[in-house]
Amino acid sequence: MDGDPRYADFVAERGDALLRYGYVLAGNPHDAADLVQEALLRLRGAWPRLRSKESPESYVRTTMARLHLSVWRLRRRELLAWDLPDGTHEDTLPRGDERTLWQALSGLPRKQRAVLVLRYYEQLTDAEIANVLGISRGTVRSQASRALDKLRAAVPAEDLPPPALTVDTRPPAPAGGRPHPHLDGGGNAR
Amino acid sequence: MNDLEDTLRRTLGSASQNAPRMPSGLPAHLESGYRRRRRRGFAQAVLAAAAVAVVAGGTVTVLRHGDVTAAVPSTSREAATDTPRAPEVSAWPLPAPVEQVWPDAVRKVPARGPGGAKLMPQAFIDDRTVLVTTWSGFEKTNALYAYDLGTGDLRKVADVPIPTGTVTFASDFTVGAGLVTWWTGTKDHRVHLWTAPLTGGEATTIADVEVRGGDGAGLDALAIAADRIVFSLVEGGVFTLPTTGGTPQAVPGSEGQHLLAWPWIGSPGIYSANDGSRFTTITNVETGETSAAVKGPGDRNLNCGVRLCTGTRDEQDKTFYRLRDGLEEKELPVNGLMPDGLARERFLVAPIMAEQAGRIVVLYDVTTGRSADLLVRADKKGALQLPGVARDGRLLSYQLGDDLYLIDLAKIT
Repeated sequence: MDGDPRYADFVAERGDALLRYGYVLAGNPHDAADLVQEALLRLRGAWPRLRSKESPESYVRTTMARLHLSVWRLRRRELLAWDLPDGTHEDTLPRGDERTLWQALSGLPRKQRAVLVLRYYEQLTDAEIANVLGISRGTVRSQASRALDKLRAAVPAEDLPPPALTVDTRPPAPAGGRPHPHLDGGGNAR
Repeated sequence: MNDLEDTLRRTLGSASQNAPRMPSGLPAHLESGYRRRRRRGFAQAVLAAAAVAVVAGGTVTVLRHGDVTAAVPSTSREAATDTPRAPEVSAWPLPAPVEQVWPDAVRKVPARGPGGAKLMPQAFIDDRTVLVTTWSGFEKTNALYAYDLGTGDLRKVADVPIPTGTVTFASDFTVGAGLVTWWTGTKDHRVHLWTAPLTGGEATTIADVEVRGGDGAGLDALAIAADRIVFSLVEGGVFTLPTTGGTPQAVPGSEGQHLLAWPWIGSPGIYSANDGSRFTTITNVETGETSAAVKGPGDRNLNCGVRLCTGTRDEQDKTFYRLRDGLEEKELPVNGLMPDGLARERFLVAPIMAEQAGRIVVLYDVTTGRSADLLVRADKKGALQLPGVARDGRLLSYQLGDDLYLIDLAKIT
């Protein structure tokens, strides 16, 4: 029952970053806010036994990813704790190719989108993605490849920039996984 | 291939900048939202796989409170090895099932009403009738019923309206004086108090109250005392009004105070952000009697009722209860406490490790030291449902399979 000030600090420090993650995961501000709220409420419940053991940031991001895929999503969409400013949410992306791709992302099934967000926004390895979503690595790979195929089909090649010189931009995954990249917000789990 | 992936990376990064901004006040809102959720009694405690790993590693640890579906963070494996070990609390011998320990107090009834609606028990109306609610959607209560535990009859008490602009759905159903009362909150920072006759009829609003603090604000306690409704606000202040309605009157001297159990008010309230203390200072508004609980330097989460306090010590692993004046302290045989304290200043619902059975939930009577197995077990995913005592301090209910277990704590002698 303690209103732990460290929890409040965590929310204050990391709330905006979590909303950014929620936004790319869900694709719209309302679902993003809803996801963040629910995941933070659950984090609050877990806080007393979580704080000395693992990164709250990692916990909450994992919860958000799973919530996004879960049936919970189907029965919610109410009782948001705060008002979102109406009409200020034009998806103003600076570049045409980004606008096209952002739109194409909205056509993906939830799981495929989540896999792409975890891989290309969260920069997780496939093994880590499998852990976060509770699916096998094979499923991660197949979902990612299907999703990329769909995006490729939706985005005309001329909209994409010429291939970069680097061969693989993702760092290799060391055995045993690497720490979650979003640990700056707290926790001693490294 | 890479061009698409690069563009995708860039797109996600750019798009993330269009995310909504966090409102200031979100931490406070989450705190009160969390506590309200807990108290509504639909907590589903799911033990994190990380915690299971700690158990498997030979250390028995008990959930402090687990109102969560815990996902397994990707770092849990590495983190587990860095985890400071909780002190050992030896596994309990498996207690007898609650139906055997307190047969007079336990009722088992179908968990669903006609048409399959899930029934959510709220409070005892009398010895054999329980007020239950049904939902139209998640957390959206749409109707109240009187559930006859003897016959299984379900009698409609009232429909529960959801006014436009509602941000807090009907909460804190409270029975007394032939009525049921509850409150809702709307976007315009107003709280609406409602009543309906238990004999059946229309729900009517009897008062509107403006609350400060915006999101998450509202009532933190609601009770019926004789012919008056008494409530307190999350921000502090205790008010009363006739059950027939009218303008709420502030109880003199109640500024910053919260309702504990009429006529006792005090602070800190249940949603107050602090070190976990609750009602350490209380006043009887009828007699003027006051009491300040004794708090030792290492005491944390000192959670007090009119007579007793529970608390934790030594990094929260030791738990105790004692009189408000600090005397007669006894250790509680659990690691960590639920935020609700002792029901009826006597009963504790706690997850424990039991020999052979693993993680189970017990009802523990601190007065007699007796305990009973509520028969709740972890599901395949490691989820453990942790039942909560209703706001009437009397009803402990939870669903197992198709059965609703209703335990009347008042019948445990």
